[in-house]
Amino acid sequence: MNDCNRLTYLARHYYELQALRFAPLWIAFLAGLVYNSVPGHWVAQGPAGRILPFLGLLAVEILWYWTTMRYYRWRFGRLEVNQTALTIGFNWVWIYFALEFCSNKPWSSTPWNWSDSPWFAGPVIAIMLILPTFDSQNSLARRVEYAVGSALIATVTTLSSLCRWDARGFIAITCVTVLALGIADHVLLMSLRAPRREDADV
Amino acid sequence: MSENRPSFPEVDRVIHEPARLAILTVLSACECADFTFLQSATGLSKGNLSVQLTRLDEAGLIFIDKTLYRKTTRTTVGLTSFGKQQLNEYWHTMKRIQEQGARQPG
Repeated sequence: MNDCNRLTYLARHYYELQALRFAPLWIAFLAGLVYNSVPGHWVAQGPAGRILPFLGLLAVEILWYWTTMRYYRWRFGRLEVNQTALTIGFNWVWIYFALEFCSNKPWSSTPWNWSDSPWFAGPVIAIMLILPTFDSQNSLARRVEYAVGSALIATVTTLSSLCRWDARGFIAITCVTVLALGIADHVLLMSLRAPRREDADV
Repeated sequence: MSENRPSFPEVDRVIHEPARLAILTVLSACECADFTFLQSATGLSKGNLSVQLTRLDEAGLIFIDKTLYRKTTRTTVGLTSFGKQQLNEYWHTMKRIQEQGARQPG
């Protein structure tokens, strides 16, 4: 990537590459899966017991989102773009809601029940993740990463539907995939910082 | 000798300088950016970036908006419509020079 392309790419994809902002959502799902696998685990009863994990996760997510926003502003600065910031946030939030749909309790962040099949959420998430692959401004590596992520989710969705598995495998693969993609995007963003230069004609 | 020399189109010297071109390239891809973003994207020092921004502002290519936020000055920079027009013109000129160079024998 030459310097001109790097600068244009950075300015256009600045918010899109901050996918780590949604990391607590995926970690919470993975933690829920692990907890659910423990024999004799305690299950919350009543509306309060069910809604508290959701509120807790919401608080953690807002705090993390605010902290990462401050971090990126301190490290990179502030940028105003037309649409990217809103659309990418929207995509990640929709992936979260698609996962919640699989957890059989749409408002519960801690998935207690895994009986639902990912027949609906799987294709939606796979389509969302394939979109950066068709963006010609992305590097080949990023396009391949998202294509592999999308293919993984499509495969696990198909297998879950054919073999009549519950949604656990699907949710685990999805969370690990989006977390890995978020980390890869963060590394890419860090690599787009310019080395210090003093070559300007003052 | 000078008659045989190919005459290339004139390029805008204000834009042609690498640091200023880098700033304008960033600004052409967004609505506006703050001083920190331009610094991290271009790799210029604070003093150097400040000088380049002043030059671009004097040429009418960018606008600089300074606001006071929590006892610190926040500098936001954006491309003016004249700046967008001049940058497009610059890229067209560069393309013409490239094409002209490719046509030269040898």
